[in-house]
Amino acid sequence: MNDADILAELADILAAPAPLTPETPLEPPLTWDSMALLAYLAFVRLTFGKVLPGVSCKDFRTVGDLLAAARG
Amino acid sequence: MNQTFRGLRLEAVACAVPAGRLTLGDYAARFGQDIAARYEKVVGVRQVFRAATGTAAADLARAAAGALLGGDRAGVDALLCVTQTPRLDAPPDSCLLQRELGLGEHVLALDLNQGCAGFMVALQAAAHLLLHPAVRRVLVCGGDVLSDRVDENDHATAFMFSDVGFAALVGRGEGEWAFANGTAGSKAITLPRGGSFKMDGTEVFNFTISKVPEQILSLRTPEVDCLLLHQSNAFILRQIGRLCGFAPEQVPMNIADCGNASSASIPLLLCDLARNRGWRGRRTAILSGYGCGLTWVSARMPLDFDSTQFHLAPYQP
Repeated sequence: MNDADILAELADILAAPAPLTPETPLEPPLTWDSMALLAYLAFVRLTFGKVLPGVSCKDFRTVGDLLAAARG
Repeated sequence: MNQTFRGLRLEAVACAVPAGRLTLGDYAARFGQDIAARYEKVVGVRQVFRAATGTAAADLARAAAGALLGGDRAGVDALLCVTQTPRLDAPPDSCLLQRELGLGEHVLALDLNQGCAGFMVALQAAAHLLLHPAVRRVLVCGGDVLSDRVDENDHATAFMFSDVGFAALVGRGEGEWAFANGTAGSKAITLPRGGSFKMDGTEVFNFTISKVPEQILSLRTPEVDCLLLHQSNAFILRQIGRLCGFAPEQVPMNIADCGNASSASIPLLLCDLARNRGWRGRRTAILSGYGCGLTWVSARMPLDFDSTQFHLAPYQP
């Protein structure tokens, strides 16, 4: 899965009204809350087979942080 | 640990449901439409059952067991009561229920302090008891009243749990039940004495999308045609189903209208499928319960929706 595909998935998880870039901050109008975090964790588990233990919403500030954790 | 037991049968399952309801509209009135809409989309709950003040889990369990047993107490040699919300620290609810249900004084009465995995833990314990020839039938019952143990200001947990009682009768038959169980010494879910339910959502979620699917897959064989999960959260159920390779129609849900009924969740799903959704005939199912502990127990077993009796009883105080 390339970055464009991942960004499309993240746009759905974050209910983004416009295309995302790695620099997009995780703040309104994006929805970044505990439920979005669960959706993100599920996406990472299903797509990359990874579990991210001990994370919380405040550990991520931008879309790039989500990309990096998924790929890292 | 994986264990297989032969010669078992699920004779009957019953649930007692109180009349009180809390709806998504009530939740929206408290927390706002946006949070309610998002909660419904992710968690999937539209309604939960609420017991009247003063109703205990054992009251609901007694009603379910009464509906299940009718006038037949023969051969019940053990009574397991599963609850996190007993009436008293002592005596155990199981001892009180022995008399309330009119069971013999010879009955082995035992409380199991378990939450959402409780039904599966109790089934596994019943299977162990039935290894002894002196034990003819095991009555498993329980449930929780958690409506007065949640923080009403916490939007993540205030509208999650249903107060439901259950009972199930396990006896001898032709069935082979294959269990897998695990527990992991975690305080990710806690119910402090006298306090409110607390949950570390991320840790619990990571647990449910790693340990639970792994256990289910360890039991999966070609004849398995459905996966009956503890109804914790619609989003989590969909992920577990996907990770285990089941089609959505093989993983039935009733969380929307029934909420998370703790240890009564799987019995309530079984009764709902049999009584309201027309499930008939024989199935080979994997049942999986997971919750505080963290504890996760799954079993592969044959189910016969024609010969097993299923009762859904309104609870009358």
